[in-house]
Amino acid sequence: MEPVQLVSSVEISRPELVAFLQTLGAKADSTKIYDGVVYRGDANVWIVLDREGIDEDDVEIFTQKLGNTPRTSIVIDISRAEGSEQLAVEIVGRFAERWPVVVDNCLPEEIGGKVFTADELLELKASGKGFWPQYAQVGQ
Amino acid sequence: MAQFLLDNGIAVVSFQRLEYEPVSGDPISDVDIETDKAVIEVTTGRKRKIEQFDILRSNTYLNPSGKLVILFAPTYKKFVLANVLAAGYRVARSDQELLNITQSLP
Repeated sequence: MEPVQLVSSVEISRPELVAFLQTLGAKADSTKIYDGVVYRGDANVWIVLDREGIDEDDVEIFTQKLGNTPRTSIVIDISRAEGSEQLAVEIVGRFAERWPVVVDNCLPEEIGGKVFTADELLELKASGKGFWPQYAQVGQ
Repeated sequence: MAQFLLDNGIAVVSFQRLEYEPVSGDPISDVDIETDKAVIEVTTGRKRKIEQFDILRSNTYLNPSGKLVILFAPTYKKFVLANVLAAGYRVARSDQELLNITQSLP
């Protein structure tokens, strides 16, 4: 699986996150590491409130993209199974409808690293594109 | 990456295997590459957290025989790498380094 990091300027508590994930049809994670797993067929996405928070190095870019101070970090681990990245784009879209968010695709800049604004996330969803350039998926 | 290992004589047992919890049928996790001696997690991202690797080491469905977990993480940020190494994981940051580790396993 590969991660993206969803960052919000709103303080989101674990109970709030879990309740929200339930509205998306998330199941409890049997490993207890994640706050929920959403799946559709073989497509899978695991979601967890990031206890380690936001890296100091990234605060400036998140602040710039959010237009506000970043307060919550959520890690979304995306399966390599077909359809998972698209499922993750849909889930992020639902987050964006509820809270102000941006998403870091967690790649280094030189291979397509990018922080997506809310508008860019809507474009992704509409275009059917994913978070990562195909060539960057070294795990394939 | 799995093909690279195969081409170099490493016995790859499975590739991009998705494992399900047998009772509930819910997905547990992906296993990117499994060889006869190790489980290899491949990540392009630079930020993954240790807990997310721990299940590969401890979950009996994903890794029933307790094989060594190796992370192939060529783009890890330094402090993330330090944390992962401190947790006792083997980390390869290049194809050759991964091959060297897998070849050296008894």
